[in-house]
Amino acid sequence: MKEEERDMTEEELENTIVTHGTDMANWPEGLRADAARFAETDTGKAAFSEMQALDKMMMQAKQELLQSEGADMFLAQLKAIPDEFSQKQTVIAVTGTTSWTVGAFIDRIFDPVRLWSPAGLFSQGVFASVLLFAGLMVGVNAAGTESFEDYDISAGLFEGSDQDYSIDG
Amino acid sequence: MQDSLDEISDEALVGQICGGDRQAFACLVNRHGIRFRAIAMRTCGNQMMAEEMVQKAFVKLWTRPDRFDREKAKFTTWFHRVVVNRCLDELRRKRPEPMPEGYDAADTRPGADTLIGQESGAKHLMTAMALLSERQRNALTLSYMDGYSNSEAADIMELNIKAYESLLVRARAKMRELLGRKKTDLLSAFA
Repeated sequence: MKEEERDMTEEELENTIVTHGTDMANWPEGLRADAARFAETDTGKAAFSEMQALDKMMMQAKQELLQSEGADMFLAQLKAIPDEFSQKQTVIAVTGTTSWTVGAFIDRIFDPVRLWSPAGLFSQGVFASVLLFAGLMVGVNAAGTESFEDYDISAGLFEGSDQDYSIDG
Repeated sequence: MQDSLDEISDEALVGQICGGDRQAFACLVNRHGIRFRAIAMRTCGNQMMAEEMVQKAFVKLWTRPDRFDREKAKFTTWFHRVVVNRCLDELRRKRPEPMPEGYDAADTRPGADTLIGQESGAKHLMTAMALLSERQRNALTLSYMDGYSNSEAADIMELNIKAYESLLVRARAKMRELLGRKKTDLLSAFA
C-alpha cells in the first residue's frame, strides 16, 4: 500500500531540523519525501531559505568566536598551569577558604571522620607506639644513674644527725 | 606520545591528570581551551573576565581532578557547568550597586530594531540572541555554537530531550522572527 502523502508544515520542518539537523540526507526517508514536496511550494522555499541562512549565520558566528585574537597565547597560559600550581598545594591557593589557624588545625585532626578512618586509626597507633618507645628509652637510659638514696625521701631528715641517734653514743 | 593521547577520551585524560600527567592536561587544554573561552565570553560578555574564569576552571581541574566523577557526566558536560557557573558567580559578584531610591533615569538604550539594524553579519546574530530569553539563548548556543548534541545539551540544561528540543524550536522561531526584520539584506546574504 502506498504511503499516504501529506504536506509538511513550517513548524514540522523546524522540529525536523532541530531533531535531525539541516542536512536532509540525514533525515528519515519519509520525512525527506515530505520535506522535498514542501520545499517546492513558495512557503516551503521561504522557510528552507530562512532556516538554512540562520544555521549558516550561527556557524559563522561560532567560527568568529573561535578565531578571536590571542588564542595561542591563551592556550599557552593554560598549559603553564602545572608549572605554577602543584596538585596538592594549590588546593589552598585556589579555594582560598582553608585557614591554617591553630583552631582550624585542631578541628581537622579531631574531625571524627578523619579520627576513625583507617588512616586515622593507623596514625593514632603509630603515635601511641612512638610515645611508648620514647618513654621506654628514657627509662632505660636513666637506669643506674640514680641510687636508692635518691628515692628515699626520709634520708634527708637524718642527714648529719646519725650521731644523735646512735645507740653507740 | 602526543599522538597516543589524542586517541584517549576526555574522561580517561582526567584520570591521567589525577596521577599528575602534564601532557594529558595539555591535551585537554588543546581540545577544549578555546571552546570554553568562547562559552565564557558569551556568558560574561567580556574577554578578560572570560579568560580569567576559564583559567581558574582549568587550575581547579589540575589541582582537584578528583572532583570529576566520570560515572555522573561526560567531561565536557561537567566542565561546561564549572565554567558557566564561575562566570555567573563572578557576574553576580560584580553586579553594580543599585541606584539610590527615587532615581529614575530615562532608558537611553537603543531598541531591538535599532540594535539589529546597526550591525551586520555574525554581530547581528549575537545582538538578536541577546534579545532571547536566557533559556532560549542557552539552548541555541549549546547546540549551534558549542557543538553539543541535543542529548548532551539537554543534560547541561537539566531538561529531558523532548523539552529541550521544544525549547530549541521556540528559540529558532524567535530568532527567525527577529532576523526576519532585516530579511531582505541579511538572510539573503547567507542563503
